[in-house]
Amino acid sequence: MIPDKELERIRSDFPILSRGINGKPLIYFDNACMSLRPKQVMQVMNQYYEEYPACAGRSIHKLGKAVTDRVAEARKTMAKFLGAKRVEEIVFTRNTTEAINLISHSLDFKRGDAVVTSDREHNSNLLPWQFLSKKAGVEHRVVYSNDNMEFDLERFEEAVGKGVKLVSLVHTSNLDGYTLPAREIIKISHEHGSLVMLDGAQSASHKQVDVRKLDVDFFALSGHKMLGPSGMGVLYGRYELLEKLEPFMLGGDTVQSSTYDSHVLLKPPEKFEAGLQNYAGSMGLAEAARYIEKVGREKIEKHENELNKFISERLLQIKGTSIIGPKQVELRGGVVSFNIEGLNHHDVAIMLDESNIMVRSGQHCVHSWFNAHNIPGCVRASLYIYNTKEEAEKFLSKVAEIAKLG
Amino acid sequence: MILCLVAMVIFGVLGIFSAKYRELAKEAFGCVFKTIQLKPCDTKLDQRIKSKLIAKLMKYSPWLAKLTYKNFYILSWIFTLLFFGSMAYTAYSLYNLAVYGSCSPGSFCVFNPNANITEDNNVCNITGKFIEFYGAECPHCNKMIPVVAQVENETGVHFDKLEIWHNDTNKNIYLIYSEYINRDCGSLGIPTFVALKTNNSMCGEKTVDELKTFIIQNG
Repeated sequence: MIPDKELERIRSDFPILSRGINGKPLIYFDNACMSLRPKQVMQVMNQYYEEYPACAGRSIHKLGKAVTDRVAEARKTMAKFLGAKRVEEIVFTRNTTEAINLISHSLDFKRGDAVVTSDREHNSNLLPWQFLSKKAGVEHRVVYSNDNMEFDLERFEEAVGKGVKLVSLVHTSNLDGYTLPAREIIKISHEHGSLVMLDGAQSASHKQVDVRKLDVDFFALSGHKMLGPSGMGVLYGRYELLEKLEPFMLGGDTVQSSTYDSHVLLKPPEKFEAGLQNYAGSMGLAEAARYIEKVGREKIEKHENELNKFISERLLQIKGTSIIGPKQVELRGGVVSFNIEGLNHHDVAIMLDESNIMVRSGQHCVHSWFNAHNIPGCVRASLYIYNTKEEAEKFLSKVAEIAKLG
Repeated sequence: MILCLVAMVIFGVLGIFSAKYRELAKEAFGCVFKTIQLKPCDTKLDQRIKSKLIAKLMKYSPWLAKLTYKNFYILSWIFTLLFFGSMAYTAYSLYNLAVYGSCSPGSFCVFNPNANITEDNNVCNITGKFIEFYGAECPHCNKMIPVVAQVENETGVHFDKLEIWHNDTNKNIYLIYSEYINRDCGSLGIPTFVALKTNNSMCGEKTVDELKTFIIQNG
């Protein structure tokens, strides 16, 4: 785990942790939904609004130049964060959802093509394919997990046969924290001539991700789950692929020039970033990436998983509790999704909230999985860089108290 | 739904004093309105009320919290029925207040806390009968017609009205009580009010309050 002194320093960067709610400390275990932000991120964003609140790329004056430089720097930081070969492979989007939708709209899908997903996709990586299936006749194939809720590579090999244009999978699931064996999946997919996109909303901020080492074709992430601003995300795409893609949104900043009946598009990434962009957001996102890198993603991953181990072991000792996901806690990263027999998941979350312990309850935008398993929902505690063992102890003690109601 | 209905009324009242409750009342109203339209209420307001209540109970008595959690549906129905029962009782009390001047005649009334609550002024305890003797052309008697009507209306006590100038039977009845009327009024005259329970009488033009006091003291 992250040493106490360092953890204390990290926590001091998050104003809300010291301020609490109504003067009482809060325990924030809803990081899979939205992470907290360190003051460094907020400072960088304020700096934009206070010091150079201008357009990037368009205006030639000093403020415009300052923004252009900082956005370029932000892109460079994100390229480095993901291990991209070229800065131009980083497209700024609003979030992971927009990045996935960009691919679903821009890749030249034809009738008869197929898209493969797993059985635990967030709606953001499910609905676009269902829509495409109805609209363009693209086949949508789902690979079901094995009994231990691990990705079934054998089933995948069967599914990824002829006609699969894209394999679009969640990298780390927000349902149970399970990380799919991306490297094997990508290798198999490429052998079959399929492209691969990873929904990295829950992975890039919690573990080391190197798109080149993974050899992934597209990778999407969201800023709000990685200490960054909301409304800011990234689509990584291999440059040669991005070059071939048509943009799905057009407008200012996407063209070199236009006449009344034609236009010449800019190169990637500009051709995908239509309209005035969220400059403060891109700077904030880059600052968040720098913050994460400074702590170290391997250290973060280890910290979260050890906390998860501590929580999972004790949680299962509480009568009536069950955890969703693989049995081995090592496979569940920093997410503990659970239910207590006889208690409604929303009730548990509201009762925890009464003690300022924030978790999420419901189906976590993975409705398809819950509906398929006939489970109404669950409570999800998701951990991050600033969570401590003391917080975990308080959480467990409260859960034990609540479980007695069942 | 049932919890939202109660919440709507309670938060509606509390909302008069606090903006926080106004928001909750609005939410509860939205929930009730949706339910009436047979649409699902998706605010989870009832669930939040329930869980917050249980969480608070847990601090004091885990046993009571468990009992409440397990039987919440039944308990909420019981409380709802009690709530509507008390609403009906309040309406009844307000009716009493308007008609009799006290929401609970003979006992403490929150709407009229300064009222004298002795047994003596409780119009509900009146069991005696009263007669008003009058003459058809008597101007004093005619002036008393609206006064008597008001007293009858507000107390529920009825005066048997006997005309004695043109009706000999009634005159004979009047003479039966002449001893008491002479005693109380000094002479015979009309209008005269006689309480059959105490044989006390009162003569001449009277105010509503004087007549009410007579009723209470002699009923």
